[in-house]
Amino acid sequence: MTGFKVIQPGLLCLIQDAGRFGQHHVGLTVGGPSDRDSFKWANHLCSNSENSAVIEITVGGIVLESSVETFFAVTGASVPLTINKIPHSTWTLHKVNIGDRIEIGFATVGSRCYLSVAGGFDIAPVFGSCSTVTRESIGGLHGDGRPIEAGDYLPCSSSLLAAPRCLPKEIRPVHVGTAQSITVLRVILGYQQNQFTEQQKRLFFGSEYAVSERNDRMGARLIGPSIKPSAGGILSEGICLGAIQIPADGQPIILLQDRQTIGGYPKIGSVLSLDLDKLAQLPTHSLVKFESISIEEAHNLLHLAKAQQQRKGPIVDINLLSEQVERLMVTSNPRGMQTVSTAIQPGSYKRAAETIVACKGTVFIGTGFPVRDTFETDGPVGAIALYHAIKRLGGNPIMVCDAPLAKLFEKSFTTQEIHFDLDETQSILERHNPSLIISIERPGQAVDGRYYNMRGVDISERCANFDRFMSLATCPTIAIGDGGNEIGMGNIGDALAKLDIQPSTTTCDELLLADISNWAAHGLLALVSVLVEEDMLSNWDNDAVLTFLSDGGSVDGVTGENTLTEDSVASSVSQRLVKDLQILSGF
Amino acid sequence: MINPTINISVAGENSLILYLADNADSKVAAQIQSVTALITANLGPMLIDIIPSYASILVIYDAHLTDHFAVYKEIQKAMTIHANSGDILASKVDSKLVKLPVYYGTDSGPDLENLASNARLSVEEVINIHQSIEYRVYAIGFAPGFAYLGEVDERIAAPRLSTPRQRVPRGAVAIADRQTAVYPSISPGGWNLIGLCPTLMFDPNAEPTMPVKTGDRVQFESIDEQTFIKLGGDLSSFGDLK
Repeated sequence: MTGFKVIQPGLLCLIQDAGRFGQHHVGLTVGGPSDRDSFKWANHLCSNSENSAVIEITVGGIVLESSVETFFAVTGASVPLTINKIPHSTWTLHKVNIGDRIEIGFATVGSRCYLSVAGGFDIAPVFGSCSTVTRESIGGLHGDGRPIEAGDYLPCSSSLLAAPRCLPKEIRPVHVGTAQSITVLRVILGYQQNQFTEQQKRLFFGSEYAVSERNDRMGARLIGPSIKPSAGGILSEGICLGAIQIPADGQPIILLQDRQTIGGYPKIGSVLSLDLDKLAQLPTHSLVKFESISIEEAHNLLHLAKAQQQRKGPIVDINLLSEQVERLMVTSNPRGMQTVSTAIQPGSYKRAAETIVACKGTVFIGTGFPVRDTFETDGPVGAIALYHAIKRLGGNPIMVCDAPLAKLFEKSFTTQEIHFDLDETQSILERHNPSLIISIERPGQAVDGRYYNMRGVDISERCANFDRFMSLATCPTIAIGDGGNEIGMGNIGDALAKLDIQPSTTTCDELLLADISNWAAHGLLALVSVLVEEDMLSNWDNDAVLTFLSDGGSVDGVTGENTLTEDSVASSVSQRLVKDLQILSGF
Repeated sequence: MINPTINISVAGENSLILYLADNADSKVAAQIQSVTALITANLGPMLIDIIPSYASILVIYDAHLTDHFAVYKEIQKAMTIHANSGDILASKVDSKLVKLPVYYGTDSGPDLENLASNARLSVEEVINIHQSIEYRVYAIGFAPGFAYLGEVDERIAAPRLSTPRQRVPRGAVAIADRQTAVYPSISPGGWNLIGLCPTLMFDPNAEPTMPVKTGDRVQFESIDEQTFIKLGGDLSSFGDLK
């Protein structure tokens, strides 16, 4: 069984799902989250169902240790959140690994936060729900209403891949309750409202009330001017969420999630549930004020809130995605690119994607690494992916390469052939005036001005010069490489000194590293997808592209064989990577 | 066709409350049981929950599926059907008679003697009066499984204790004013304890969870200590309360 071990239980942490419904006839209350809005977003960030079990953390102080690789998010009150002592933002999906320690400090704004995990906590429901109601000894981890305790083990399953979603600030609920601000609670008049005179109602709606220290999940007791109904007690009757009970002392009590199901105090009406979310976050002594609304207005507000929530939602955090893609791209590290990746400023994929999206007009895509009298599969596959994407974005891509690849490309793509024995760089640049140049797996000149393959063999006699496009261009340049001998590697010359190769010294504006250069194209397009809110990786068929190249005489750059592989890696591996990138980018 | 005058109020953003009478009695309890069943059937998935009580029914609906106008009409419809065929319906509704065994006694009911002497009755008379009446379940609430039964004979009605007990055992049979109940679980409580009932009033693992529902009839039956223990009763749980 995998899950989170509770190292420190916090002040009051309760397992909550949406609540226990349809059990009032046996006297069971609803339970469920105090701040339903924050609860919903917590599950939404994890792509969970709306009823998934989360931890409701009151005030804070919980420490968990993960025995599972998964994702989690914290929403609600502003709390300091750390993973292994490193601060992380709330309202954002984060990855945890086995052995990681999640710590939540004490709330600085608001009172309650919600910790959700991918797939929800796996807890057996009691009466259809795992919501903890301490008073009823029902629900929670053990089914007996106990809050979370030190040593508890909260089961959840593993999740290896998820888009790094976050809820943008402007959509997050505003839960600020300070001494200066007064929270307005909208009230639907009802129940025994006729038992309150106009004068009593004016007093009720015209006064400010303070949240007392006797404020828990059952009810919020308020302090302020006393309200008196014209009659005393009533026959006990059903109590709905938010009902405002006026006991003998005239101090209102707003009945909340863990309320008793029936009661005999007169009630003036009920608070709109949307405002109960705010109330749930108010610290003691906060001021509230009541405002009367009609039942029709209440329904209107509920529908509006629902519509707005459906329209706006979490977005993929582009910075986190870029970090994840950069890590994913160099995971297997066959040629030391993971080792040298620290020399690049984080965010390279994001910056490159932004450049591509901003670019309107002609884009040169230079590729083709000569192997004997032909070309290898790494490079052209990614070039084709980029070509299609740029077309889809409204740009005008042109493949730039030497023969024999140029001859193959000419049949399907706009292609500009270049020659190893003829330098037309200046005239080609003038003719097309590109607004972006991308080099993918294109040999770059070593310090001696010559071209070398990974084994250090001089291939200058078969290699046209694309380096000059990079240096003469007045537009932005992006270069992709996986070994150190490609165009662009000049950016990290010092780091490459560690590797046993003849490194290229040609530089670019943005260098992207990958274990296989083709993969960098897919990774880059995952970032583009998020920026343009369209899946640029859809319909990618790696086999079909490799078959097209293979029919044109391509070979694998590592094995030298005419197979449907890239650097000796099976096509299915690349196809799976594309699928993973789609998930990461939220598609 | 009788068009009943009905009293429906808004309770909250997704709740209406139907008032059937000013006071609870066994006729109202039967009516509430039958109308609750009608509303539940008519609203189907639009109903989130329903709370029948002494003289009212709180109807909680899904405000994303329906609105108060539609629910108001459904409640009206249920009331009309009930008014037109109330007696037939009432007999159809499963208002079952539930017999609850009680081990009355001074060792199982620490307030029995006091209650008897205040009522100027013998302990036996109190026991006989308590079990002579067929009660109605007026409401269920306060705690899971807590059924309020009425009405207790005026002669043995007794006010709540001035100082509530910190711990009342599960199964305690108790009287407060003109109501009686069986405590479904260990809890604090201020009612007068007169005996112990071995029947579980709330069992999360049983189907149904409770032996009674709102509107059902209840009759208590005196049993001796041996029978009490044979039925699963436990006197030791009481011990320190006397």
